[in-house]
Amino acid sequence: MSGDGFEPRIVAFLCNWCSYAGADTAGVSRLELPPNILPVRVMCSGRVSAEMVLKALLSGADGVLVLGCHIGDCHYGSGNHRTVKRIPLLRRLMTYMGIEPDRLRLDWVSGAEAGHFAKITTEFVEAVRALGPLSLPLREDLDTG
Amino acid sequence: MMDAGRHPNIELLSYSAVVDVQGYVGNFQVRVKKKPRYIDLTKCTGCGECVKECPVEVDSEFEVGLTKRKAIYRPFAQAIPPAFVIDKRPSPCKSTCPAHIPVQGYIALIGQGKYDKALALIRETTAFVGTLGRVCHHPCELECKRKDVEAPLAICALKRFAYDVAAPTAPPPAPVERVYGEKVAIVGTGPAGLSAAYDLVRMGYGVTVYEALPVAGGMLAVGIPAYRLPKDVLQQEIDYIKALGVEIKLNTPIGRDGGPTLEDLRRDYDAVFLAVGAHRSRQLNVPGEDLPGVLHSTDFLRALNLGQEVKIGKRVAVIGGGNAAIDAARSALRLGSQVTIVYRRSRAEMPAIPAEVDAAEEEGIAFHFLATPVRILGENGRMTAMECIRMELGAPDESGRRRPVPVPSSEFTLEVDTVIVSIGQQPDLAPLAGVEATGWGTLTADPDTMATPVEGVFAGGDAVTGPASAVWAVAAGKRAAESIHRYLRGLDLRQGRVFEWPKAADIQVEIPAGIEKAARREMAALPMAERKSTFKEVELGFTEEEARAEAARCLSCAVCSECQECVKLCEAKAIDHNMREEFVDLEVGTIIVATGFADFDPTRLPQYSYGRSPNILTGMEFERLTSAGGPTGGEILTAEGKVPERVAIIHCVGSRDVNANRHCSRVCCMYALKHAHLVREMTGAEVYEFYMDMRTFGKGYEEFYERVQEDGVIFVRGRGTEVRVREDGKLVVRAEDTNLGRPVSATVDMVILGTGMEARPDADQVARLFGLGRTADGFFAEAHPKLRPVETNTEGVFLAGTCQGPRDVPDTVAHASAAAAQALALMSKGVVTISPTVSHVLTRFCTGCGKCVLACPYNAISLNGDGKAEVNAALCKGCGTCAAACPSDAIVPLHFTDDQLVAQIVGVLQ
Amino acid sequence: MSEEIRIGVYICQCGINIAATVDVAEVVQFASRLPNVVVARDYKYTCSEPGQEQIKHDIRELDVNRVVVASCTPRMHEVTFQRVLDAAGINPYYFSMANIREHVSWVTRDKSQATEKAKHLVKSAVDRVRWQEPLFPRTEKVIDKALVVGGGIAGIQAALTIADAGYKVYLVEKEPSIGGHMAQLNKTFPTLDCST
Repeated sequence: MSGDGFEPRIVAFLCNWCSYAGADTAGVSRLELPPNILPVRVMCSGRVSAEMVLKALLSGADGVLVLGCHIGDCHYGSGNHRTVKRIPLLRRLMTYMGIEPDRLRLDWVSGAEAGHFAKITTEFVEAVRALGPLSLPLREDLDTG
Repeated sequence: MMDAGRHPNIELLSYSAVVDVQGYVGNFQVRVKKKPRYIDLTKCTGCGECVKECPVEVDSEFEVGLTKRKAIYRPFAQAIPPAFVIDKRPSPCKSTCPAHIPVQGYIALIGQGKYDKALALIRETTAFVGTLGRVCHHPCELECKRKDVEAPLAICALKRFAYDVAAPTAPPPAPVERVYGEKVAIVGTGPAGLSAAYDLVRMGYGVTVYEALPVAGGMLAVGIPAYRLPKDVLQQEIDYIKALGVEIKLNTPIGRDGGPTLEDLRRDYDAVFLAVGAHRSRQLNVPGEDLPGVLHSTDFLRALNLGQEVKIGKRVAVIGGGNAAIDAARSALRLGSQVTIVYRRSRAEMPAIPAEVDAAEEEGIAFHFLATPVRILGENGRMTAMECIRMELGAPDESGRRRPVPVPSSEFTLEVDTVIVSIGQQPDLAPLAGVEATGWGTLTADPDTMATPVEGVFAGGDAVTGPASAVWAVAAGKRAAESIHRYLRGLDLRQGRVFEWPKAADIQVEIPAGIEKAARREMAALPMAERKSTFKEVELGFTEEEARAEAARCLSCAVCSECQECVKLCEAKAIDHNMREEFVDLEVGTIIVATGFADFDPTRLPQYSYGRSPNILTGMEFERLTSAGGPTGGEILTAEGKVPERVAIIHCVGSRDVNANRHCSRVCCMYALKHAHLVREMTGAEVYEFYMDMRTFGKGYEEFYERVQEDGVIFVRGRGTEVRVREDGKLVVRAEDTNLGRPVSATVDMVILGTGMEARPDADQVARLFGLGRTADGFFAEAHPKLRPVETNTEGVFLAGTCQGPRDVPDTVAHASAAAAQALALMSKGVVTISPTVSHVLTRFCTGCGKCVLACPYNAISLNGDGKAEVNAALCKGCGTCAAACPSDAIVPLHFTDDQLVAQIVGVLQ
Repeated sequence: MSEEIRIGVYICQCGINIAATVDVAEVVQFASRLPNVVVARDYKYTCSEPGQEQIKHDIRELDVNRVVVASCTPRMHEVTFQRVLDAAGINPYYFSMANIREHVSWVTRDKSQATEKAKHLVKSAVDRVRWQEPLFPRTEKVIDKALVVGGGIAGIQAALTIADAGYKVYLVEKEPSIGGHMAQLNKTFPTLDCST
């Protein structure tokens, strides 16, 4: 793999209806994906709370990807509208905590968009790889469970 | 269709719409609004007699505008239910009129020459027909939609015409029979008092009206000069009211000069209505006001109207900008004086009727705007001049008008010998001991019901509002009469009454395309010389010809004019113009949405010239043309009534087009072939069919295509790109023939546009009502494009037919059958399993902040009586958005709890 | 709860769909050492009848009370395995799934990377199932009346079908008459007969 041997670990929150299905479609299409992506299924991207994202970063993830349905296609109508509002706030919070906000990314993948899923995940892994390992001196202290 | 109308298990709610859906699969609560049909379905025999005298014609929706229908109509001969319906919408004029006179109704009757019926119709609302027809400030005309064409209708003048032409010859009315024993006392014979008397006597009450002055009519009699309202017109209308049985006691003031007191009236009558008007003039409060030569407009006009001698000087200044000021000024002019009006704001802020101001100016009255008197100068006890100061307009005051402020050192002097003060009036409440007054010196009364705080005493008109206008007084009298009736019958004063009518600005009226402009008629006026020297009526009224031409300009905004002609014709007594909308609450287990599609409107693609020639038809218009029940009885004819020799049919109009809809409407290829076949069969005309590719997807469709090819139809493969209307009326169709690879054109007599299907304009509203998604084409989204074509993401709600996407009749029937099967499967099973993966509130942690309530896309969460969140498990779909929004981890989406997800996250990383 | 957590982990080979890329045996080894795991097995097709029987057997014989299956996407067979638990007397919400086919074997070339990722996902599912709780679906009565909105051909057809089956139907139509566009059509395709 890359020269310095750093392999980022990425937690990807995938909503059940669109992006998880999109990831499945990528599998069905036998697209090659970076093995760094570790999917966690939620019913809706609106379920992904700030705690979830921070927990992932504090537990060893170098980056977090939140993927939902395209706006207007949400299985629950407006669940992803909440996500849209929440993620930018979270990125600002990360800045305060001394974490590069680019370690968190929100995007949309429909059930059919296998190629889009592959592109997003590959790009994100490379982006996080470029940022290097997440060094968080307070990682253990902050990890209050 | 017939079967659906009479199936014992089907309850048809026609002319109705679902307005609210609550609940969940198996247990929906649905609220349906039934629009008033104005016809009792159980009584209507469908005979059609009612249509005969209906004066209103509009485009027939069923015949897509190719023919007209009346305001009372049956959509088509085989309609289910077979009853008629009245198309009645709010109209700006009736809605704006304070007394809600059915304006469109009398205008329609005038237009038909039924003048006596027009008069009778207005008299159902008010006795003051000739009076309001002269003095009304007609706010209706400001809102008349005809102003968007060129100018509003002369509504007021038409009302006057109805009176002038029909009233003098009408026989006096017979007295109304008493129905109730109660007697009502009314104080004041102005428009408010007499309007209440008119309504109460017609309801069957005994009514006595007390009047302090020697004449009846209030301000109409003693405030408005004869050149605006001739005495005989007012007197005739008062006589009409008296003839019904109203007793009027003149020269009988209340609470003074030996007349009965309010207490006496309360004792001797069952209810009292105070309509004493506002006859006391406000003072100027400037030095010199007590000099002889300073008059008040109320006193001046009253004396003139009572025929008393009035002395004024040669040079008169009138102070004020209201109608009373203009009346005083124009009256003074007629007495031979030079008159100047001094008003502290500018012309735009004058409260007087603009036409009256114009007339005053025409007659030679001078205006001093933005000026106000500061003192009146005199010598030896005689007035010599008036000193004024200039004003400028500052910030707006509470009336919304800009407040005038004095310009320092801008005093100037007007040499006058008479000043008529007309800066406002108040009621004289001193004699009415026991009633409450406001800070403005007016009577306290509820603005809706006219009830005062004193039991059984009501009040209205200028006495309550301060000086307003005759029609407002009429409206107040009518409201008071209804309230007094309810009071005497022990009914609630408010229940079921409409106090707020729709605002004219909120009433949508479509102005017909291609309407021809027609100038507003103005009444002829008395020659100027006579105007200036006599009190003869200035405006002369419409001639019959003018009135009918003016009436013909009415746009019939309300469609039904409420002329009541149909009521007289209906033998089954099925018509009720007072029907109101009703709400029906239903409980159902399943819902099938089958709201259909909208026809593509080809005016959106101007290259097809739709609307520029009557021979360019949409698919649906041609459909009606070939129908035996249609406008031509089924003959295919051009608008000129000729059999066409050449016809072009253009496919994909509004479909498969990035400038309109990208989707294929599926039905057009086949209906275009059907049309081609019908044209060939019925007329033998040459048919050119412009198509992109032929989509014959159904059973037997390709065979039909072959048959049409054998009919001799000329097929041109290529999109028809343009239709041009030639000067001789022929139509030139252009296309790119993709087989030949070059442009082609055809000159024809008729073009049929293969207009497609699209989502209905109200699809968004319907989607929200039933919790449906929509696909990019705007149609409702099915749960899965292949496997669940009738289910939706809302469990228990199914889609049937073209609301889900374009499809033809056989496919629609199949789709609807599938939806029915899904609904039946649910209902025959009888129970539904509700998933347990819903959100659950940990009450002890919940702070009641309500963030989850806002976050929930399904309104499944509410705050209970304890201020804690509560989840309706049946509505919750388990998305978990609430949990992410909760700041105190008090709401848990079961099976996706924080603990479970955290374990999963930590686990995947280790 | 005082009940001891006894997890059974089942790694599916999915023929060669998984086994060709993931070292299934190594994943089984890994899983068997995770806390609370009492049994870890692999099988050619866990979703097949014998695969399901194996799970039921372990629930009966080894007192397995939590189940993790690592195979295809849960969008495919989650319900299948939940029914297995239900049939064996275990609450179906004591089940967790790791998707090592669509998300691992089909999208990863390198066998060691694939095996490593599969282990992560299996551990994740095992850790999750430990926190899972039994849930019980509710049933509600279905009101035996239907609402049909729109009285065109689709609404009429649906209403008649339901009404003929003996259920009450409310047919709501916005216009004064039912019939919709269909009533306006003259001869309708393909029979070219009258529409009303």
